[in-house]
Amino acid sequence: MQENRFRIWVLTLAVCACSLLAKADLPVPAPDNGGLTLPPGFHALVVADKLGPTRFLAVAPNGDVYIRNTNILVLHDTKGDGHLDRVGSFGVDCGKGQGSTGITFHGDYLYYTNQNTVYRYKMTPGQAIPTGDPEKIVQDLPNSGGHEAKSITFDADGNMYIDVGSPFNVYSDHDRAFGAKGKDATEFLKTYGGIWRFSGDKPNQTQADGYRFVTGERHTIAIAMSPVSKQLFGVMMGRDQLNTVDPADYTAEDNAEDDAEEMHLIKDGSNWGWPYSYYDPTKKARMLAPEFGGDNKKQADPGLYDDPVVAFPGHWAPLQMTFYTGTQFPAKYLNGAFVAFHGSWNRAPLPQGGYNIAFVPFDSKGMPVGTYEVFADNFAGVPVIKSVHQAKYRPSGVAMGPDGSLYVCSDSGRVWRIFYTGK
Amino acid sequence: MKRSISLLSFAVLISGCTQTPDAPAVASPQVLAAGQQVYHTNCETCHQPDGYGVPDMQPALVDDDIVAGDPTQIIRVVLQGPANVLPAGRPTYSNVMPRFNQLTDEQVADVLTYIRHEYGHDASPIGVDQVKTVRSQFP
Repeated sequence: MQENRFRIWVLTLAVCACSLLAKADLPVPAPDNGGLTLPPGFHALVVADKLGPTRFLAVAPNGDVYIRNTNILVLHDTKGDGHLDRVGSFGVDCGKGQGSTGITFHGDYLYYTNQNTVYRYKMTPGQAIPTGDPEKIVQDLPNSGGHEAKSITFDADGNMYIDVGSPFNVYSDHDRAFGAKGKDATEFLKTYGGIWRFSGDKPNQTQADGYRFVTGERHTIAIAMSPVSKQLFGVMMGRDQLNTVDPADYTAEDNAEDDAEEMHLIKDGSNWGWPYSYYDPTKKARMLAPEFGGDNKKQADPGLYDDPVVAFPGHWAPLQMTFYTGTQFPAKYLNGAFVAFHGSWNRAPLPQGGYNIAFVPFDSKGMPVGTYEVFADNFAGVPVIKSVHQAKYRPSGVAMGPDGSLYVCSDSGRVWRIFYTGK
Repeated sequence: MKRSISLLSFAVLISGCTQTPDAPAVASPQVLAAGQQVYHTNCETCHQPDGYGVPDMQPALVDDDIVAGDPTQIIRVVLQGPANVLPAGRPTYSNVMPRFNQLTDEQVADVLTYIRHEYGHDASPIGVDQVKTVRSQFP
């Protein structure tokens, strides 16, 4: 019965999607691509704006965009010109600020999170807004304020992965302060700083019902499954303030450049080395954190922690990640990943970085080749960003639409649709 | 003896709530330049080069009532960290500012004078003696 309903839902949405494509095809791009810079042949259009503070987004099979703020907004192309109109909102107990982040479609459900909880709504074909109450799937997840955002990712078997981030920069006395001293994080890591696996269907689970799949990570909400290898990958928000804690051994340049945002393969039993270490992309080595005796020279003990599969510059702040499975973009993008980088604050006095959508190429086996390139840029609208306040927009979400267009949102509620014409 | 202690406590209490009398009247260019340097080294990575902070993460200093307000309170914020000084129920941010008690009295005075001049609409300068007094009251 469940399977039949799912088939009907998929079939109906597929029909809707086809009719939408036939009607709308690609929209007319904005002459300035909505302020973005893009590779040749790509264009963009601002399809919605001024939605208020927004975080992640998800695109339904029919092309409707569901976007998180303090509830769930539904955007629909009512005129068939690509522009999205706000047609409604729903959601209970949605959290606020960073807590109101996670959203994803899975099967015939829409899942969403607040800072403690995972909910899901049953979606009905033809109804943009679900009726009834959501079902609570996981409750009472830890949250101490700070890095409390939670995203939702499924593997090929329907297991659900939820990261519980750390409110700390480094688990230490006088965190972030000059001379901060690291503490044994064994107990802390039993409930924080890891990725837990849950059943995607079982209601009212708690953290104790989950399985700690990855530990030793600070906060990772940019998580997605490779459509080829079926492996999950995640980009962690690395530590801050090396030179604040230990100015004798670290310069501002070291702090800006030498503590990567790390993309990891998410595999059972991994330890990514937080809070004891960080990955230095310049030295290409996992270094001992200054709170634990590091001096910018000592490496972490070998063999304890995973090295990243891709190292991004420090402090770029990875938020949402999605794999590209469409055929609209040139072939090089197929099965690669797009990552929305919110943009840094902790690179001052050096110019800030990030504020872009990066593309990570993957090989034919569904593994990253180890590099990245900036795909969409100039969200900030200024050539050099000294202070966060100068940035006009900060990317917060990225997801693919049914026609292969890429939808990107900023944390201020602007949504762009990026598409390829080859012209 | 008891009386003199309670009088002293009273005096300390009063001085903790009001501006101490030795505040310099005008910030000198030298003090502002020194304060700017302290700001570069210790403050701007979080509060940003323009003082506008980072939404939800670290507060703006520009036009902030605490920055421009009671000198004793803002000195204590620097020396003890805001979580130990400011009232519960205030707006909070993801990142908690640590104490900066490793700064000298002169560095604290300079940087607060700079911040109050730059971002606090020329609020009064902070003197080294004021910092010294507060540090002795709240070690």
